[in-house]
Amino acid sequence: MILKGDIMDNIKNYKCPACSSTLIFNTETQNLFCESCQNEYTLDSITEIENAEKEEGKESYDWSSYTPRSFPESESGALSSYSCPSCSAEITGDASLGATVCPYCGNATIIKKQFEGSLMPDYIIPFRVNKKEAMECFENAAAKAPFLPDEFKSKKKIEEMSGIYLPYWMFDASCDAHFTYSGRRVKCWSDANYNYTKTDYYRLIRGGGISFSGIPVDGSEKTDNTYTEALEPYNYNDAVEFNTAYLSGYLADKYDVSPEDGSIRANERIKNSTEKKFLETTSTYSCVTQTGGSVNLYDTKTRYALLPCWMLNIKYEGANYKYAINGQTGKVVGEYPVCKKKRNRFILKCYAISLLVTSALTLLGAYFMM
Amino acid sequence: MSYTDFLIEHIALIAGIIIILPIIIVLIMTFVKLSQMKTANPDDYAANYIDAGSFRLTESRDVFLYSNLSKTPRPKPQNKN
Repeated sequence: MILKGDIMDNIKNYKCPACSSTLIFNTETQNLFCESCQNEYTLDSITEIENAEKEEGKESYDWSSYTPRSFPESESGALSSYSCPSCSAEITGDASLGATVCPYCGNATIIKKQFEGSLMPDYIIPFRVNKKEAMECFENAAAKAPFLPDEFKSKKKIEEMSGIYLPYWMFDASCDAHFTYSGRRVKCWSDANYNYTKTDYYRLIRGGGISFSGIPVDGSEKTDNTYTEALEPYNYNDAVEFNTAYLSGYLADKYDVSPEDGSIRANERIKNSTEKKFLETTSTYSCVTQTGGSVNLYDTKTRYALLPCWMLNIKYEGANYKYAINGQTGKVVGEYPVCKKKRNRFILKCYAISLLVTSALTLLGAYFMM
Repeated sequence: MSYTDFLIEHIALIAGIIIILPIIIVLIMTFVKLSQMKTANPDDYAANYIDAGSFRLTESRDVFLYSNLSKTPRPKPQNKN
């Protein structure tokens, strides 16, 4: 007996849940039977499936309406929108974004107005190290890290690697300096009865000048100055007049640190180096301490440059490690994870060797002193 | 005085040197190795940017202030007789 119902509005077929063929009522088993896949179903199970499918047909999407928000006054200037010249997609970035790669079409995009007019850099050092070479430099530098975990090479995950032109302020200055120091000269001698020590005390006066060129100071608040200073030095012989073509394919930001703020760091470095240079002229004295001094700058000049850098973010065992690679020289700076086992093994080995050597030398010394 | 007697007499000093000196050496060497694990350090100087030949010392005076003389008697060798 074949149970046949074909309800278009009131006609229906019973379909096999496995292969969608028409089910036939099996009179022997009193169940619905699929001739195609040989599966058998009770009337109750087919009814239950049909009821569930009817429930699925009932859909409703009821969204509450969206209330738009606007940026607070203090942040309204922090973001800017640009249109990609290739695909017209809207790219949103912070106000200092200069060059990027469109996230939609992958084309290099340069925001020309960031580098026009008074914002145009005086010069740029183009990338000399490509991405592959930068990665090789990193691997070579990591191999030299003494306590690097052995699994770092295989288990590390590169989260992000991007070539970026960093904005720098370059400071040139000449300075006149004047310093005073206190110093001592010690003379020792002996006669038959006494050991003599004569200490002569002096006031040392030094004056002169020194000139500096191209002291770089990071012009971006987003980058860590520790990393940007550690990347130095750059070879300025490779510096060329700025052209936006050099930015293509790389990221770039314009400066958001003013030259006045940047000069504070330049002044610190100039003062420290000048003090050190003049201190070297007192080397014939012992226990030299500076008692006073002044540094005066003149012939100062400030220039704006873009210098190349690869920024690398690596994830290892749940922690993020940041590295910077000089895009001209390949110098790598950053902090490597420390393997405690390797460190402890080194300490024990070092202690054992030092103990042996120190013991031998001390006992030998005691024999000769006896 | 025999070598053993000398060692026993100065045991504290010898033990101190043998124990403490290796600890100092290990601390210094470990510190040096650990400093190689962190290469991102600020540069507080501008030595790389000094113009060659630009340093000039136009004033150099060393003014003597005063002198201090101290003397300590030398130990006399003991007369065994």
